[in-house]
Amino acid sequence: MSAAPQVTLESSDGEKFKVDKEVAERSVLIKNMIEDVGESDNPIPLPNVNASVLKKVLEYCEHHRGDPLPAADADPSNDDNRKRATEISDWDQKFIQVDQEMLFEIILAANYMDIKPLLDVGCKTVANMIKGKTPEEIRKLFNIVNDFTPEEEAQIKKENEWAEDR
Amino acid sequence: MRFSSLPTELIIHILALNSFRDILVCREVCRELRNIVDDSLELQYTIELRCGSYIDGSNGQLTKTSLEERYRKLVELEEGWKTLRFPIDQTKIFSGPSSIYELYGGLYVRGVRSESFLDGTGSLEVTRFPSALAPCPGQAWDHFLETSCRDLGLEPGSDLMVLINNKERNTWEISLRTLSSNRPHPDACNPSLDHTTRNLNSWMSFTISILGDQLAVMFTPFDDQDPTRAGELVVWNWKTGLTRTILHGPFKYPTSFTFISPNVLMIGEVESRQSSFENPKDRRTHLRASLVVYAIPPQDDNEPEMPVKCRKVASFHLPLFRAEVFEVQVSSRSDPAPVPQRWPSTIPSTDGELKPFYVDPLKRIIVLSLDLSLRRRSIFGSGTEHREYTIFVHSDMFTSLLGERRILSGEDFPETLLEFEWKQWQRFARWTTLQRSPGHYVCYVYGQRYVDYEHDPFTSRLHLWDFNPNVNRPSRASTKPLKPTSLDSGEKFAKPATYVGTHRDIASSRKAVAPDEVRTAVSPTNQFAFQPFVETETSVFKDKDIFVHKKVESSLPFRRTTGRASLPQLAGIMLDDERIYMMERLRDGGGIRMGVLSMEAVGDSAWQGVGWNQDD
Repeated sequence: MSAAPQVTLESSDGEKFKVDKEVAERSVLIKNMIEDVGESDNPIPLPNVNASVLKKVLEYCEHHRGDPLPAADADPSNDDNRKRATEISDWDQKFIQVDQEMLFEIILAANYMDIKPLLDVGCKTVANMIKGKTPEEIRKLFNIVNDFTPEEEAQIKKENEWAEDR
Repeated sequence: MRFSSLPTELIIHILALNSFRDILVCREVCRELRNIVDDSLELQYTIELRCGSYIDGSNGQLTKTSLEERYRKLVELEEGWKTLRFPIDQTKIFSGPSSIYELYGGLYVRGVRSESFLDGTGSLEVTRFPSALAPCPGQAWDHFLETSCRDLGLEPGSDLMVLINNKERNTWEISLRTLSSNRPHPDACNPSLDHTTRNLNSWMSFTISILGDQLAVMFTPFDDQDPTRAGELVVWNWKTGLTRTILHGPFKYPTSFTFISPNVLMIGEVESRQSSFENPKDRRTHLRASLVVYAIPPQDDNEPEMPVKCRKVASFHLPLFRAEVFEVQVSSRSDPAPVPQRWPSTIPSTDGELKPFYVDPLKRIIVLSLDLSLRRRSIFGSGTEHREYTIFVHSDMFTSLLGERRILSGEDFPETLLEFEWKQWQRFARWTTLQRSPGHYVCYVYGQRYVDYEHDPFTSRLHLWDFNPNVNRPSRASTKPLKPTSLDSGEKFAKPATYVGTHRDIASSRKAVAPDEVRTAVSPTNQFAFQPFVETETSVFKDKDIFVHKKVESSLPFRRTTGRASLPQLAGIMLDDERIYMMERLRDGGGIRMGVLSMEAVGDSAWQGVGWNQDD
């Protein structure tokens, strides 16, 4: 049986994942590694990504295996490109419905493994979470402690006053 | 794993996806986020862009202009507009009589007739103004014209000029030529398009608009005696030479159209209707003016050469006029064309490249000029009276009332005509009694800014109206300078000085501005004194002579900056994204003197190429 070429990836906690080369190569990092090292049976180590995150990332790569690679110099004047910058597809939206911890891990992994579309989906999701919220709501959302002195807080409020929604 | 433990560059990337308001709110969350926002050039630039309704032209890639330079230039430009503190002030005399001129994309083209007026020949004088952002100084050149030219349109980004010439009676030749060399345009399959209007009149007025590959010309007959008087609008793809659509209207002179997006345009129309609004027995005819929105559907793939039919998708009605109002004319103006703005391709090495940043094509102010005639009866007898109004309408109206941007992007058209009464859209409009300044024909509006001018023997006033919704934004000079030391933005702007100007009342209610908003601007030659005035309240306009309703409210916020100076009577005033142009007619048909107020520091040497001098 002639199967598609496969590669093995190894997570930071030592778990091995055997996936199609085409799927793994959604990651520019892995693609470059394979090009540099050549075909090999040795597992590719990913010391910054643990097994649960890698599993999720590979799920994304599997679903998007056939997608055209994003054009580097997309024309911003093109309406389609503009729209692409603000919208998340239905499948991606479902895929990214995870807890915050996992969401940030995916963003980090996508950044490290250089998977731009996944990084975009993650960042857009976080940006949407912040959108329209008050500072207090953002603190609550991300469990951030307000470390301003009352004076500082009043000062920043004053600086921002003009931008408040009318 | 927490949000704050993400690397700074990822936090910046995430914040940059949101509106400038959301970015500013993050400053209030905690010290770390505040410092990230304040120290990030990318975020500061993003705030500056979105707040001023600009779009970055680099698509995230660093181009010839670095992020730092773009940020600095944008702040400088916006500050220039806000304070009208002109770093430079230039004048030039254009001699000889001229009947046509056009200003677009930083180019001014003026048609000059030859001595023997009747042979129709003449020349076109092209001036390209220097810009602090452009990698090249200003320049001027001339073209000889073999035929007469009735009107012209420009698209410097494509090196295109469109000349309209009357071939015979009602047949028009539309020549597509290069701005740089006056040759048939190489991108046009057919550089000479013909159009025969239904109306037989050869006294026509033209409105020309070029949007990317699209060229639109509205032909409207002048002649009041002509009973048909109907104009028509033709849209071509100027590259293929194919007609996209033809719209035959009831449009009458003076009229015009405004593209809101490449697929959607708006025309001011007037209709007669019976009304029983106030009095059921009132069977008289009332006139109603409306902004009618037409969509141009995509071409049929099977028959790309067949023009498509425009669809009327929406109608925004102005308040109903009383029966005494017997004539209403609406014309509209809005600039630039709603497509990304490019450098003139006559600037070496840019070749029509996008500008480093440009005005958001969908954020614009549409200026409606309303001319009314009404019958008046009094104890002294009856007569007619003429009234003029200027109504500003923000394009946000279309984006928010026509279902986001789906209609505007041409993806979707409603099944039935959407109709909006004045009270539904008055928040996007401002009704004023402002009259057109003399010579107010072209280019008095750009993006969300509008310029006008008042002259009297003792003092003259220049008004800059800014309809950017963020009218309350304080001047950059009073905000904290950005931390990176390479940027001296905190130092660049003069400290506010005391107020010495006055302004004339136009709107009904007003709001004083904070003292740090008031400043004096001193240009090299003119003592301009400016007072900014911000209006965010609803104004109530009452005129029982013209409206069926008792009052007309409108509440579009604006900021108006007024300058006083000893200026001559101007023949025209214009503006674009970087400059204000003042045109003074010289005596005895000697041409015009043009004064240019530039909002950014353009080096003196950059002006030498155009033969301009620092004003004396």
